[in-house]
Amino acid sequence: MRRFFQKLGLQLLIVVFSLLALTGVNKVIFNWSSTFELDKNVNKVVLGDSHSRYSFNDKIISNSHNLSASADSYFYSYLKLKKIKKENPQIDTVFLSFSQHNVHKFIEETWLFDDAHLGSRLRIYFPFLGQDDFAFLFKEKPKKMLSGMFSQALFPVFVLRGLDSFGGYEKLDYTILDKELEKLRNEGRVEYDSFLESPVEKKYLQQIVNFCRDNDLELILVNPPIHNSLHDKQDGMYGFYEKYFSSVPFYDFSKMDMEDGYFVDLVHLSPTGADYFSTLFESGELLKFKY
Amino acid sequence: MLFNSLEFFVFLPVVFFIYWFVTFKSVQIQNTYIVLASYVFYGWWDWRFLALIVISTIVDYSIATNLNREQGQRKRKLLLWASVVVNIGLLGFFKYYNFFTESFASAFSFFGKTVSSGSLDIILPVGISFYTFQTLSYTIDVYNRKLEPTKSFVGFAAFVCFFPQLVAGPIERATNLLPQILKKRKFNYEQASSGLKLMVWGLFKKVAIADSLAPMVDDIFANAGTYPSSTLLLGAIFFGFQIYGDFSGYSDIAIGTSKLFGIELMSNFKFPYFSRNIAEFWRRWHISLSTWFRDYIYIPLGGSRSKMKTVIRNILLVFIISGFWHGANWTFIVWGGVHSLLFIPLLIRGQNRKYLESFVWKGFHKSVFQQLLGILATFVLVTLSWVFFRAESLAQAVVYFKRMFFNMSFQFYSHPQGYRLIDYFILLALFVLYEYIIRKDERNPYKFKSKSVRFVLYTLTIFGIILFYDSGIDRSFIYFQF
Repeated sequence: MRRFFQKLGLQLLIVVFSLLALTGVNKVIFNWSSTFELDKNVNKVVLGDSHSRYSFNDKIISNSHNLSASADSYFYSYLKLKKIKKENPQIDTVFLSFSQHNVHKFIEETWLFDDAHLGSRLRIYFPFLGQDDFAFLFKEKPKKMLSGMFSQALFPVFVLRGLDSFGGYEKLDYTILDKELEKLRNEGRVEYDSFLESPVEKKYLQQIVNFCRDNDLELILVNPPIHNSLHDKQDGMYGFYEKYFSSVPFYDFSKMDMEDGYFVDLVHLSPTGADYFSTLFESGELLKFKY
Repeated sequence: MLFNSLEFFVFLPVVFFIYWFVTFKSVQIQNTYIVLASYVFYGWWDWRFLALIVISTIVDYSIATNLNREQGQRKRKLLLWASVVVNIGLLGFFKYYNFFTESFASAFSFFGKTVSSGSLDIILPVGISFYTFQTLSYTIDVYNRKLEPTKSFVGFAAFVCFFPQLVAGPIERATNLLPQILKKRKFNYEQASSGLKLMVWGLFKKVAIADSLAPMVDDIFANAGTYPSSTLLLGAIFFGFQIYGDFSGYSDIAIGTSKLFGIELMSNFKFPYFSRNIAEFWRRWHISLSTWFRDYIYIPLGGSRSKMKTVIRNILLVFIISGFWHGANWTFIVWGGVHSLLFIPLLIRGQNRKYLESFVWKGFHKSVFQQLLGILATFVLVTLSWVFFRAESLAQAVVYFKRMFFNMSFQFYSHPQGYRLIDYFILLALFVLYEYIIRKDERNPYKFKSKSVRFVLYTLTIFGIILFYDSGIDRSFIYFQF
């Protein structure tokens, strides 16, 4: 029996130490090899989820870099913002995607605490996590964080060199608008059926507001265009904005009049839609959409 | 409680420690403790269904005891039927009631009559198909005087509910498991150590192979009507690996866990995807179930010693019942039927017992090419048949096949979570290669002479489990639903 426990203990110790060593090596190589430095002339960044990712073409909008990533909740946008600002002191403006679904309760169960989502995010955001961020996630999902901690050690995060792995403008090459319209007619969309605010997203949006205030960053909330079939279905977010964040400038482009060809689905712009929107945005014509 | 859950990682060491340090003094204490631990393990899902296990235990213990005392053949038969009625009755009610009522209603509606199906909201108790067959085999063996019934009720209860194999097998025979349970177990380093290694390998198959393929399989089957034939073929192949990783992984963990408690369970899988024909496949896949059907249905029906017509009928029957055992759905019945149709030609040509050697492909010789072809053909046939097994309904299976064969087109499939598909191909290729290397002994996946090779392999397997465990997919075992 003693031999059994000795060998088992030794094997476990080796595994644990290897994982700790790999975590350290990962972090060191990541910090050493990955750079989050933007071009010196870039002073505006766009953060948020796929909604902003596929709307703001940073090749058209001058001095900007779109760092939005699909299904990023405010928790991850906050982590990213801290890192970007640290390496890019010239940043002075942050555009942050702010739509009904971003502050809806269902985001917590999907984009934040869902096991699969948390697992995949943890792998790439682990080097970004501060003690408070880690403690927050650990409190909410202790089992997942425990397994995630081990798992991330084996994921060579340093291969994700540079900013592109953490988001960026992309062109969508599919169209499922008709399918989605039919689905909307038949089933509706959960985030538009009844609004239930997310305390966690609210908390992290507030953290972003505070961070911007403390670092002299101008934060601007932006709600990119959505298909007109959803225009009357996002009243909940306006109440939320007025109640908690009315002091933050907010541009609501969601009700812009845009034809169907500018969308690939109900909430994402096609490349032509994104170019059209970004050109207007760049020209300043969209200032009238200030909420 | 799932084998791959954190709860089990706490449960197992606690049970192990108490078993060997507190309850080691006598076999009665060991068995009482096994029963308690197993009830906790099972009750973790739903404690209400423990009552079914207790009923099954009491009924079969009492009937077997009476069967032994009783000399009159008529009364003995009655007792046997009582056991069959209670066990199959419980299984039938919980698993098949809705299937029969709904099929009955559909049959009437086909003839223009409307009959309410009267289906009930019944939850299927986990593992009921497994422990029902296990207890039944005990009573039948006692009836056939192949086994003396045990006097120890606790021992029998431990045989019925032994937690490593309670919910998804292997379906043990009393002749193998009961004598081990009735004897005091002593700790054996080699046995415990090989048990742990088998558990690690089983967990790897479950977590890294089955669970990592699951999201793609789910996506492809759910959207079968929209994907091109290349993707549908990929879905069927991936499901073949998923179900193998899932179920053989579970069996390995069950066998490994039992070894930790000084008990040897029967092997359930022997590298089935290296089979050279369907008959060999069924000697390597879910062995505990196929031998159960062989011993308790096929042979009593006359086995292979009857006229060819009767043998064919028996084979057909056994495969269809075996399919139906898996689930109350026509898809499983068709799946069983398809396998019988693949098996019968081998039977007629006298080739069903062609490959009886315990491990495939002993070295390179003349017939290597022929064997390779056989392996490939068997894999293709089994893979296609999995479509029935995995489909939600026959209609879905038909759509799947129609699009796969009559809508030939190729398109690169992209992973629902955006992972690279090539990584999965590499993973599967390495897995098949490793299984080929270790194919001589399914109970010892790390049988290498060099200590350092073994050490590196354990460590890599553990790393693999940790890396894939985080994928966050629904991790329950497929066979739990059966």
